[in-house]
Amino acid sequence: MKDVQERESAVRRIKSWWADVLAGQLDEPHPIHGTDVDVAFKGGVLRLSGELESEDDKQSLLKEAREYVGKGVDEIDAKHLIVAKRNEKPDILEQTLIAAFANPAVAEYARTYLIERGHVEPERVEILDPRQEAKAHELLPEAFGSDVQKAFKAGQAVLILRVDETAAFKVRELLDEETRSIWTIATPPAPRGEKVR
Amino acid sequence: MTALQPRSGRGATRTAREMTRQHLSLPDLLRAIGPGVITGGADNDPAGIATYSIVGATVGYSQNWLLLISTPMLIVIQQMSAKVANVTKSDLATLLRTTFGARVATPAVMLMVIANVITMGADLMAMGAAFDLLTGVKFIYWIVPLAAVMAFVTIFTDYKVMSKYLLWLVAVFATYIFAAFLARPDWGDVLRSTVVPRLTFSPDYLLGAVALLGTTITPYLFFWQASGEVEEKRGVQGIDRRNVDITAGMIWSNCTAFFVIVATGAVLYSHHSTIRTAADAARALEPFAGRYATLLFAIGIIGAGLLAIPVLAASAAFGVAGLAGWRRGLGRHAKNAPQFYVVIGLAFLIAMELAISSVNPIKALFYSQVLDGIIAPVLVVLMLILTSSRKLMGDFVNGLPTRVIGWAAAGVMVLADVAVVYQVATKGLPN
Repeated sequence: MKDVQERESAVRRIKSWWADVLAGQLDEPHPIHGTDVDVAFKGGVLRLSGELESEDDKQSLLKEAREYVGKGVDEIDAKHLIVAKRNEKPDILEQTLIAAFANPAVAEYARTYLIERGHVEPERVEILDPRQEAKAHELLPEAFGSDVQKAFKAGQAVLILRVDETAAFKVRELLDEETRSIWTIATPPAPRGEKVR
Repeated sequence: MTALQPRSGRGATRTAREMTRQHLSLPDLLRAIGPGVITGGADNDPAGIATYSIVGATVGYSQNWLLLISTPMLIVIQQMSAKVANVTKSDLATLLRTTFGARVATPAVMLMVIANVITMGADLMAMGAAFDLLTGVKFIYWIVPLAAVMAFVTIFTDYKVMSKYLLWLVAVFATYIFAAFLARPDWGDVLRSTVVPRLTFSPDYLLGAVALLGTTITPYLFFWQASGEVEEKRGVQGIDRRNVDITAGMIWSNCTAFFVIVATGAVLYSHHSTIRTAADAARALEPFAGRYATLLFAIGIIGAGLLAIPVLAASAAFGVAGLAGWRRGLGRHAKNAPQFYVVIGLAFLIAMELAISSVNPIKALFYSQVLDGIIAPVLVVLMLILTSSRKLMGDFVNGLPTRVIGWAAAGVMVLADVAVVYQVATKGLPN
């Protein structure tokens, strides 16, 4: 049920973003691709540029844009919309990112933002408050216990995300720059499924 | 190239580092070379070329040994910068802040920012002097238009695409290789000076040594390397390829520096000439280019400035944005990372002001590198602490050779700094 609501809300936000673009409001980041996409609209020509993570992302964005051809858009120019070249292979290593937030509600906002807007598909997500210190020790390597403990002592909540190593850059960038976490740290990459040390 | 394998079956006990280790064939090695050469090219900015020229003209080949020992140090430090970013998924300023706190991170980053802006100012003067050589119009009149054009290019265009073309202009410095041979130096002396350390306790020699180390192992490159890894989102799977690229880039950078010193040593030091103007520095290319030496030197300096000044401005902005947690990246449009680009704009403004108010471009270039030499060991030590932490780096923690070379680099730089401070305090600054 929650998934359906989230999908509907995403569709609504995408439609609203395109309406803004066609009305000349070009400053807002795309609801899904964020600041990875730049858009310009002049004389009926819609210019899309930027670097997307995958060919699927590019095709889905183009599909969104094509819906407006004949409805304000005469032509789409996507010459400068490219897909990032990645040699890294998924499913080899994983990494855990830990971010501190003022309280669990803010951490929940960040979680929603990462999943809905950031295209992040974490293998595990937990939001822990100061009452759940024992669980934090279960989830994280021992060396990171003191960081989490400090956050809990300050009354903060922590968001813990375990992701594929190839997605960790994106997740950290979003946590650092978009959600304005109090701090974000990453555990070192480890073989998938390795027991927490 | 061996494929990376998922962890299963017999591979189950392998560490993350072992799982990402790649055995590269010769074609793989050649294909791996790319962005590191741009970084290496940016290392030889106008201030670098001026410093190497002054060292060659002032103390001949006697500091070639420093260049030799600084090569593995530079390679190791750049590799550490790349590795720490790929493991922690973070740029250097953010990492300093989250690991050491704002009290350590802020001064460390701000020192780099100050050194960068001063170097930008000196580089702008050098570019102005290069245009002066070409046109006869005084260097000061070139500074504002140059700063404005470069700020525009950095903020509103794709610098990374442009840097690939600019690299060809910097290739002009390869002519120092031919100039060095044609100047017929005493190769026995060159070789002896390269492999046998020769120390002289004079302010001239020690300032030259600090500037040479500062322009070679230069702080902004650490930040540029780490931020580049984050922007490209390379990750730990490509670490071996990155190391090859970095090694090639840094060797190329120091090879160029070596031949600049040999050429200026042979042409200027052996004739007891000094460098007071850009035209003096250009004379080292005369054995190769004859009356075109000035033209060639000017083109090289302009290319080096165009390549390096945006890197200096962007490194400063990456540092400040990392401290503040702002959106950052040259791949982003200015409207999506406004504070990052404001810092770039401010860096250009202050550098322009410094360039206009200074009087001697060659002195400004040289002393900006002395400042880099004084700041660099602080950042090298912080980087060593970060990359030797098993908590942060896990299986990618520094090995013994990296630690030894890294600490040796910090030690050599600290010793040179202490010696220069003592010498200058007791004997004053040389002319």
